[in-house]
Order: sequence, then C-alpha cells, then structure tokens
Amino acid sequence: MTSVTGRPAAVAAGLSPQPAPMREVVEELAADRYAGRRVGTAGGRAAAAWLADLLREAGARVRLDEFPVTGTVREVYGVPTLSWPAGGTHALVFRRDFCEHLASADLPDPRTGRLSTMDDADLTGAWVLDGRYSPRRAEDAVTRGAVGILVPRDTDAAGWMPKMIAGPAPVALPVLAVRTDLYERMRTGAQGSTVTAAVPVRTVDVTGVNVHGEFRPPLGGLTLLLTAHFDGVGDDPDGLRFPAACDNAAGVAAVIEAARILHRVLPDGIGLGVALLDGEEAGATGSAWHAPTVEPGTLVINLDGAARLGQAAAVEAGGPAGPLLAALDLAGRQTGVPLRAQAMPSDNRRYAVAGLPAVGIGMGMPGYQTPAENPERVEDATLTVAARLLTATAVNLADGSNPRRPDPRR
Amino acid sequence: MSTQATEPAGGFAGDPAEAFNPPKAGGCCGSPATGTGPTGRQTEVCCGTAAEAQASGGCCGEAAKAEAVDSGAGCCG
Repeated sequence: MTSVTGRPAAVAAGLSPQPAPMREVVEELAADRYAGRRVGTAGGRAAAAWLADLLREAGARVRLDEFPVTGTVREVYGVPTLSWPAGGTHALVFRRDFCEHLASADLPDPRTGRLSTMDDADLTGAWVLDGRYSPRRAEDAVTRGAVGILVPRDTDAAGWMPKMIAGPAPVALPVLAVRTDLYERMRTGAQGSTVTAAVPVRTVDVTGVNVHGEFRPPLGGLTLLLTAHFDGVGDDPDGLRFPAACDNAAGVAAVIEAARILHRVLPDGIGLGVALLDGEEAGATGSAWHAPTVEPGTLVINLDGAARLGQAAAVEAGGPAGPLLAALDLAGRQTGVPLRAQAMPSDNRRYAVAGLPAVGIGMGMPGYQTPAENPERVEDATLTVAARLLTATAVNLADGSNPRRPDPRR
Repeated sequence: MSTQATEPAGGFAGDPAEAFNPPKAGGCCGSPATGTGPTGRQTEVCCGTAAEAQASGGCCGEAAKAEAVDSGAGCCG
C-alpha cells in the first residue's frame, strides 16, 4: 500500500469529465466534411474554425494563428497504381498491397519496366527490387538507367500500410513500397516479368493554422498550457478516408474537456490556455511556430492519442519539467492511471526545445493512420481517464498538493 | 485536504526521471508497433529518442527519421 497525499481531481473539483461531449468532438472531427484534416486543406481549415467556435462556447478568448509549412508535405494527388501481370495481379490495391514511398519522385503516368534487382548488371529500363533502399542506392540506380524502385514494407495487423505525409526531398526515381510477401514473390519470380506503375506524388507548400484558446490570462504566476494536435494525414484522392479519430481527435476532445473543468475550478490568478495545433503530421510545424512565443515558465502538457490506454500511458518529459512530472505522477496515483516512460515524438518536444517545462502523454492510437482509425476505436473510458489525468495534474500544480519530492532531474 | 491510502495502481512504477530520456519505442505515442506483417519486422521506429530529436533540431531524430523513411514506413517528423 502506498500513502498518497492529495485529492483526486474529480473530488477536488466536484466535477468529473463526461464522455458524451468528448465523444461529440471525436465524431465531429472524424466526419467526412473534414476529409482527414490534413494541414493546408479545406478540411483542415474547416476543422480549425469548428474548434475555434467550440472554444468560444466554452468561455475562451480565441485566436487563430496561421503559419507556413514549406518543403515538407508530400501530397498524393492521384491514385498510385501498380500491376504485375506475371504474378496474376493486374491491379494491386493501394495501401493494402503497396503505397507511395515518401522519397518518391513524381510519376503521374504509368511506366512499364522489367523487374530487376540491384545485383543485375544491366538496370536499363528496369523497376528495381531493393530491400536495402537508401538515397545513395537510389542515385546508383538512376545512373544505371533504372526507371523506378520497389522496396518491401509490412502492414499493420489489419493489413493496412499506415499513411505518413512528412517527407524528405525526393530522389530522382519513383519509389513504391510493396507488401513484403508480394515483394518476395516478385523477387523470386522476377525473371522476364514486368510491372507497370504510376506514383502521382508531389511536395506542396501550405499554410497551417493553430487554434489558441485563452481561458484565463497569465498573471505572472503559474500558467498551464494544454496542447493537442487536431490535424491528420488527409483522405486519399480516391476517397479512402483517414478519420484520424485516435490520432488525435481523441486528444483534442480530452484537452477541451479538461480545460472546461479547470476553467471552473482553478483558483484565481492561475493562467490557463489551450493550443490546438495544426501540422503535427508534417513535422510538428504548428508547435514549432508557436513554442518560441510562449511565456517562459509556462507548463505545457501535450496529449497525443487518447483512444486505448492499454497497460500504461506513455510519458516523455523535456525542459525543466521536474515539478510538472511530479504532479503528473501524483495525479496518476490519484486517478489510478499507470504511467510509463516512453518516447513521445510529438509537439511536446517543440515546447521542450524552446526551454519550457513540457510533458507529452500518449494513451494509444489503434488503427494508427489508416482508414480503420475511426471513432469506434476510441474508448469512452480512455477519454475519461485522459481528461481526469490532465485535470488532476493541473489541480495538483495549482493547489500545491504535489508532495515535496526531489526534482526527478537531479 | 484528506490523506488516503490507495493501491499503487497508478503513476510511475519506476523512477519518473526516466521520462526525461525514455527508451526508443517500437510504436508511437503509447501504441504498440504497427509492423506485424509477414516478416514480423517493426516498420516504424517512432522516430527516435528525445535526445536524438533535440540534437537534430526537430521533433524526430535525423537518423531514426531517415531509417523510417528508407524502410518505406515513413516518419511523422
């Protein structure tokens, strides 16, 4: 048994997070009209506008802040195709059998070539199977006359290839990732067969928009900033939906619910803001834009994924976050939420790099960046404990109920 | 303020300070790895540790990001 000093936040507040309003946020953001909420799209902007209205209704002073995203977003502007007649597969299925490689050159029209491997002496006119792809090997394939590259890739448990959009500068050849077992069949049956493929993908420069809600202005004392990204990777041109319910409509919902409660119960003099961030899927560009402008000393809690808690919430801390981490640890014990140190490569890192005390919390993303990431995958119980954990952490910080523990960084 | 005894079911089981330098994860943001296909190979590496990301000046480690992209899986950063 462990003696825990402090009040569970729900008791302290006399309020508990309610799943219904969080469920509404998740289902709204996952709706068709927002088209997967990719940064710089009409759907993304519409989602930002809807969230701004929601924060206003909750009592926040709202500000939209646009920012540029250049050289990062890889956009599939047509449906890539791949056929391998010799394998009996005339039309392979995009995102099931194959998908775009983020370093691919644009190939709008289908190109046919024989299958080959990097070991072959002559790559002229060939699609090259390369299990050890690198930009340098791609350059080698270009100089040897290849017309494209195929690399192996596994799927998730449901058979999807999760979609990403943040890419490097493209190489000079089109590149496709092919499901590993199919790749192996191509490799063993390559002799004399051909493939035909198109990879309509390009880099686009876009404008993102962060949604800021100030519930309580900073007054020089303790200021809390709750953050969550609302953007997704966007739907595909063929209409394949990427609802992004878990990553991160769920996180947005929990952050808003926690802010609503905290706005009512925090003592006077404590600042409280919410930043709903765009461009996380494009390299955390929204938080990179915002972090340098945040008042020094502001305590940042970022939630990315709040759909299925599993064994424990992932936690990563950065900056001078010792007291924040102690308050979170106590909140975990108060609310019964297990915590585990685990990498959280999300917006929290941008705030930590800016010198702010920041923690990132993750509570699971089933169906991660696939069409299966729909609202049904988001558990009400996880939404509730996520909001409760955030609320309890904030209350602990506010009322000083976190125990006098040594700074964990020392 | 009350004092209560609770089961140690929540919070960190170990040293919270580990959260300042958590191990590289097989899956992103509290999820298990997604690479469960025919080879069982993990196809995403969660883009590196916090220290690697900071050294790269981004939200992901440069080497881990390159590895994730080269593998065909991609990286969020």
